[in-house]
Amino acid sequence: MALSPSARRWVAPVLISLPLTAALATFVAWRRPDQPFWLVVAVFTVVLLPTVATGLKVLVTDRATTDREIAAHQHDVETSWVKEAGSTAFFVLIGGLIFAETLGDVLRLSWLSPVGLPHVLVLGLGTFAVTYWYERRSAS
Amino acid sequence: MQNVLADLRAERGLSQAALADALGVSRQTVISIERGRFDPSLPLAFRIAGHFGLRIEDVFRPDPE
Repeated sequence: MALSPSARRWVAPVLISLPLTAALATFVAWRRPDQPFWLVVAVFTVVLLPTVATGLKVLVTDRATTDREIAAHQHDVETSWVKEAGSTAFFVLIGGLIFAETLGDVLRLSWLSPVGLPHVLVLGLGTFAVTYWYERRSAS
Repeated sequence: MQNVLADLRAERGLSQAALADALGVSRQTVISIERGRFDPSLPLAFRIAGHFGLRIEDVFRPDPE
């Protein structure tokens, strides 16, 4: 059975971290003579393995990940504009909808309280577009 | 953050497009960095410094307080 590329990146970190974790668990078990030895080894290995493997994966594959991210243009200024615009649109959308609904309730304006999908789309997309345009203009 | 990217690029006779191609980023990214309007990510800063055979602190430095 062939492993997917993302699964293959986990093989080396897991294989390296397994003996490391087992050795650490053995040391812990040795320091706890009152506890069942193999139970302590098994529990500590299972609990520590994900953390150690993840840490090793970051260390082992970090450079490759960075290269892939740069190749995928994830470090371009345009990506930062999209992130900024998306973040702003999200918060304006949440805040704007809460504000509209609250204002509609307080002022008893029936047309303001119910917010429909068109309002959400206009507010969200409008905010995204304006923020993206502003970011682009500021950086150019 | 301030940088000397434009000077380094000029010293080597590189165009913004050529540098962008070499770094694997868009030309607009190079333009924005040179103008100090965009602080690159740490991986990209390492790549920029490495491209010129320098350390990051030789290319970028914090704004004076």
